[in-house]
Amino acid sequence: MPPVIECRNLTHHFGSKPALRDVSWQVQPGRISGLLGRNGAGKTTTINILNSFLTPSGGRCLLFGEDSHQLTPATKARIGYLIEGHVQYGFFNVRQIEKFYAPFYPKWNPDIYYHLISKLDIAEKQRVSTMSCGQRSQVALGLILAQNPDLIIFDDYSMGLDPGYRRLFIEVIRDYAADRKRSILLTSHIIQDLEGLIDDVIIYQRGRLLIDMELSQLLATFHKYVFATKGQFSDFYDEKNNLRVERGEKTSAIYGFLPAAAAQGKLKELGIAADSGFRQDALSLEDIFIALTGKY
Amino acid sequence: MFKALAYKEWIKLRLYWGLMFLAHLIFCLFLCLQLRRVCMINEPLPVWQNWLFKDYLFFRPVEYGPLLLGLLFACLQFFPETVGKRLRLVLHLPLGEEPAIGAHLLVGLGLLTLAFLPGILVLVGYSAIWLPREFLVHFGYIYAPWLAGGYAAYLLAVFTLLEPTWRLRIFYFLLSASLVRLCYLPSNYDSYGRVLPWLAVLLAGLVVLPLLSAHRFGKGYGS
Repeated sequence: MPPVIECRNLTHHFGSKPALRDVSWQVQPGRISGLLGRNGAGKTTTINILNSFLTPSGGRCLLFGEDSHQLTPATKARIGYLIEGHVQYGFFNVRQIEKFYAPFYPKWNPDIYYHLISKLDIAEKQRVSTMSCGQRSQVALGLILAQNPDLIIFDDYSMGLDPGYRRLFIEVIRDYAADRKRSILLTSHIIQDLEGLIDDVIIYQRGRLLIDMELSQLLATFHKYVFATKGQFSDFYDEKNNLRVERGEKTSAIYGFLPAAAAQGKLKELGIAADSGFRQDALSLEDIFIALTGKY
Repeated sequence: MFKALAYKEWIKLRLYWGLMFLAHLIFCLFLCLQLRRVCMINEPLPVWQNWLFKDYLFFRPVEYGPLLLGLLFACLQFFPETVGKRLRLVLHLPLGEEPAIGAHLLVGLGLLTLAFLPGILVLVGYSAIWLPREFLVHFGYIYAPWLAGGYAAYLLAVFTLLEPTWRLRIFYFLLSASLVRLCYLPSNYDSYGRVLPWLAVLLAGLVVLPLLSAHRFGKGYGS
């Protein structure tokens, strides 16, 4: 099946500053993909290009085979989009906003929306502008799901949400995508929430594509080895090979796509003594993300 | 879909529009009373004479009314769309960019016309009770450019508000001020008579400008 989203050699500059550099990746049908990166890595730039709110300096994005800048209304009706910060019209109340959006979408299903709203402690005539950020997020999510879209793009869905609403958001998304008929692309800075949700992970680093693979493969092949710190050495980072060495006071660590023997060999090559207490440590997605993109 | 967009704009603007309409109506009732007083004390002839020789018109205070209404209405309608870049919600709807923005402008111009109505009614309705018909035609020549100024102010304010870059916004503001000025050149008896069709053409042309700004907004210029 053709990909739902395809970015080909995407490049963008803000003035002379590069924001995206020759980035290519795809989202396959029925998959949930997480687009991750530090602040300023290029995630929102990509989302804006996908939604036709930015013209790339080079390359192109295809959604359902159509150029993101020339989407037909029929294709637009298949794409749900959550704007960063759960932006919605504050002057509407819960019923009015549903009434406004319904005529635009042929597959509109109000039940999903009202089901989500019924769980919230809000009055029917309460205006969106008077709701908490968490309540507003559920209204925005309900309106997107009611569209019955084949693709949903969530731009930083977790922004401003407390743990309860974050969990609720994840559960609703998971249930919605359970039939494997819809595709989802999301960005978030709360990476630990995504581990049990996403199928594929795309990681940006300063506008470049760092990782594009299945999450299970990333978790299985990216390793951390710790060892007792001996002697003097500095932190080391090899972006090309996704390899990082971090020096600690008592224990240091090496991260990368390499088995134990190869890690020891690399440390030897770097002149770092790692013969004492060398062992593999478990890694979460967030650990891997920080190892790949750094703390600074 | 137009109905849905009109519904959205009505919910957003009904309170502000109602207040604007009421304020304009009260002001026009005041003008009616003033006209009645002048005509009851004098005959219609001094009204004519005052206009011709002293450039005094009973409805001169309403001169900048349409302009203010147009400006205010554009800000009330489109400023909320620029906060948090909410316009993206409309631009993401499954209909073209031009139909979406065009529908907003149509609703805005329609509500603005209704807001102008009390002023028009005072001139063509109430004045007809007191003044000869010929007066009214010439009043129309005076009042029409002011109305055109109101519509132009609305369209040019939307054009300026939706522009995503500050540099061009400032340029658009200056350009808009110059264009609106064309509707407020010193005028007396019949001086705008021959220019009115050209003002109408200019107004029709101005409709394109907000669409241009919305397109630039949508394509992320300046971000």
